[in-house]
Amino acid sequence: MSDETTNTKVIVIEDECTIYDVSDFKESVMHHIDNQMNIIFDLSQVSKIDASVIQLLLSSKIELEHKGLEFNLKNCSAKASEFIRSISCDEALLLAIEAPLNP
Amino acid sequence: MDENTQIFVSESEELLEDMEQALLALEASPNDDNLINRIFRAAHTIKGSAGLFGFDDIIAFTHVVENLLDDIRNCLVPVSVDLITLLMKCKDQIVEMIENLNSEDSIEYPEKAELLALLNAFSASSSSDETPSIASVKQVVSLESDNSTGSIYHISIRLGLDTFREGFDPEIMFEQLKELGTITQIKMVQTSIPRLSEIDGENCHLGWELSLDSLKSKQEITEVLEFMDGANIKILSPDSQSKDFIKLINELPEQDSAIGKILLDIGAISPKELQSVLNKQKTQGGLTGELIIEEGLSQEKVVKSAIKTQSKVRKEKQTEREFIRVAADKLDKLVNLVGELVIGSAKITQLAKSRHDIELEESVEEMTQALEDMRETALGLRMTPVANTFNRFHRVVRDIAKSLDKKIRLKITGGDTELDKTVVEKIGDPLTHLIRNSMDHGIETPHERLLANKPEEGTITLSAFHETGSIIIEVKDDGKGLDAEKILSLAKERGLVAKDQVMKRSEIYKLIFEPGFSTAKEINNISGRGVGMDVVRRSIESLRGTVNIFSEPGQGSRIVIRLPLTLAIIDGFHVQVADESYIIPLDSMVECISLSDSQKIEANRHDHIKLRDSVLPLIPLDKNWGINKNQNTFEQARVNLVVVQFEGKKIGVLVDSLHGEVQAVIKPLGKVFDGLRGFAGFSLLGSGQVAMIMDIADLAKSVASKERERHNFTERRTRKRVSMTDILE
Amino acid sequence: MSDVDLIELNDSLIDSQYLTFIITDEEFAVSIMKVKEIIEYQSLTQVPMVPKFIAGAVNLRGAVVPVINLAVKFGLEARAVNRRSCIVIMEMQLEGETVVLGILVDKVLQVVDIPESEIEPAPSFGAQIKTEFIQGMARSEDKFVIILSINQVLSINEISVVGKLQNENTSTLDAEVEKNSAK
Repeated sequence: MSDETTNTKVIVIEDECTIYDVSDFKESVMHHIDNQMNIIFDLSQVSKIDASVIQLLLSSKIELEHKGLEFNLKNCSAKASEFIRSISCDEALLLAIEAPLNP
Repeated sequence: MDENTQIFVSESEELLEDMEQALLALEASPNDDNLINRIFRAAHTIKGSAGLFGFDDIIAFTHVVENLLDDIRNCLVPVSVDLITLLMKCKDQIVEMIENLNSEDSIEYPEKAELLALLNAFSASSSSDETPSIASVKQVVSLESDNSTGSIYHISIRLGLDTFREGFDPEIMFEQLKELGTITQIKMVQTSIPRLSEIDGENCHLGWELSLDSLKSKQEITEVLEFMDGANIKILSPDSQSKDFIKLINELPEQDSAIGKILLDIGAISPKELQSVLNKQKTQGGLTGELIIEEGLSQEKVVKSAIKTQSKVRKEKQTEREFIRVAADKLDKLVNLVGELVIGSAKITQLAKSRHDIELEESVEEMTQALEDMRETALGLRMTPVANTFNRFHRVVRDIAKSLDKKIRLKITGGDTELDKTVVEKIGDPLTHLIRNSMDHGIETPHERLLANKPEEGTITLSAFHETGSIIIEVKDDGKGLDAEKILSLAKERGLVAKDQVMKRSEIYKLIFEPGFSTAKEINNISGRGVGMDVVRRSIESLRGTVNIFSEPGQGSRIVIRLPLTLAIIDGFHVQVADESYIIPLDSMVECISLSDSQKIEANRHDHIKLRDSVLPLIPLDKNWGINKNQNTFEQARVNLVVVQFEGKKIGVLVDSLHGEVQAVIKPLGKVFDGLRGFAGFSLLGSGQVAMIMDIADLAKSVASKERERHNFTERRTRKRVSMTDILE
Repeated sequence: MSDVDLIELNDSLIDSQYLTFIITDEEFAVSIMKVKEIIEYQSLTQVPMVPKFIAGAVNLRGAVVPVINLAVKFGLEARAVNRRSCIVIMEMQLEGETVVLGILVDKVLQVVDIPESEIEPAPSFGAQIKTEFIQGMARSEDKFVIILSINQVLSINEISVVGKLQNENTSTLDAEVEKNSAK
């Protein structure tokens, strides 16, 4: 934890991340947001991901934008990007990578 | 006729009906663009459908009509009475062509060429537009079907809240979509996803707007996507107009502007359209679909592909209107089954009571309540408003008035009165005839009316309302009324009454319903000219109804048709005579009286009773109804009197006990009891027992005739003998 | 044997099946083809102003079915209803409409096979019942069974007598008056 007002936290999502993890996931992300952290999600270690997690990522993005914080996705694993594309969420999420919206 | 043709026919009939209503309305308000659009759409849809089936005649003719309508729509041709008359004739022409689809022979329509010429004369672009365009229409159709790419559907998907919990993966849905065709455009809808602080991660808020290029029909796409429980999926067909998108925007949960932007992004609507939608909404706040149409924003591509997909879309359209067609006998079967259920539940109720099991009784009670609701709903299914029949008379009146050079207005009241569907269908022809008659013989020419100090425009009022267990349909005119003398002399001439007979005016009027009064030979075509009023009477009697005429010289006439509510539930009163149960229609009941000892003796000895200083004739149940329960002794005498009335005439029915109000389903008397008088039908009581429903009108008449007979017995005997010989001849 | 013959044979097998029952001590039979079901006697609703041979109407699972008292129709002395009384439900074609009717019988016996060869023509005399109602006679043990020509017995002319009242254009009430004054 840092006392600085704007710091960046990298959250690495590993292995399988599915609906069973969403509530822990939410708690942890909320914790960082409450601490005024910009967040980078690192998806390089993902072996399995599902739509509920994607939704949570989008939800995090919206929350961060509301708080004037930054949301970023980084290093999508092949599995992750394949899934994101398959449910046509690439635009919604990748947009954020290319051009983080300013508050 | 195959099923598809059948669909084409019934759909077209509906459209044409609507077209006629719109045309009539347009006459009153010639600047109403909505009406013009309605008319245009009807013609356009029919042409498109006809194209699919290759009904070349209809395509060619409707095409010309459509061209003219297009000109009207674009304000190139002004709306006029003549124009509307022409369009109505065109509508009739299309009706005729559709009716003859079945016919093997090629049918010549003598009027068609004339109509086409007139259409072209009216049309602003007549010179440039070639009349026979079957080839071109067909070309469009075939070109499109040869095209390898399919049509672009717009699909809105909002997954159900429980999607994740149910373990459903949206990935599967996309796989299915890809099997159906190519997703050409897609946007995820993010606006409905809550912020992280507010989200329950297990709830699903995902949604997409997408364009799917598919060769499949909407039906097929719907079926494929059906497996997603709880999801809200909307599919717009390729022929969807801007207004459909507006509707979509309005229906979707997200903010209009957000959805509008998404639709814009994927190219479903143009920026101009979106802008105008949002502007209009700002200023008007209401439905904007019609406005968009007015502005002619419909995409050309969209309009063209309509022709191709119409057959597939057709079924959809029906459900979109939230109507489905159901065969009438299926409804009857449903009503019967529900009836059986009700009886079954009555037995269970009794069993439950005898067991003294409170819980059981309560659940039975709940079930009974639900069943009652179900029965009422089932019965209501067959009822349709008479408006369906009434509204078509606007046209009849308009056309006949024109041909007679009279000014006549048709006023309709009580169009929402509901009647059994069969009755509604069968009453149309007699009504047509009555209205024609009123217009022909009742209402005077404008000149005559002005001389008689009446408004130039005559009025025919067609109304429907409930009265004492019947439905009354009235045809009233403010014309010159019936000429009693003329009728009487005609009747004498035709031997209907004796030369020296003196009759009351009201009796004379009734002569017009006598067979043989009219000289017309033909009895099949009731709406034709000169068909006798006796045919009208017979049609009404076949519906177990009655017809009566009232007239005031110089003031007009009123024809009153009284119809029973066949198959409807009637509110009845359950009475018992000896062991038998009867149902008296509640509407006809005046009062129930418990008889005093002296009244009892009087009532049971005579067939009338003195009630408050007037004599009340009684229906002698025992003697004539074959209920041979001896009640000569004082103890056995009937103690309750039910007073009923029909057309103001009161009669009494003596009964043993009163069991209170019931809702009775009328079951027709059936073949065996068809000729039975005095009863409207059977009904089943909750106990399963069969009860007979009294036909108060019939009973009142027989009581009245009986009274007359008593006064004039011998005379009638002679007359009757005469009429019997007539029959023999 | 060819297929056609087989079918004919089967048809004739069913055709030769009859339901037998007792009405006022006489044994009758009707072709099983017309019989829909047999129900126990239950109290009938009297229908006023109809000929006496119409026993009334009964509720058959939601449908109101007229019940004919054949004893009265045949001019036999009708017996009181007993434990064994039944209503035989028949399905008839009347003027192109399927009509369900019941006939009141004192006792149902059995379904028997009566080959056509064993059916003798109706006697032209001696029978109490109109000959046109009888299809034929068959011997059953020591008795004769009357095979009813049910289409004739339950034809529209025979059973819907009420229709006549309408044709006369007068109600029974009037008829009653006439009768009374004729006395």
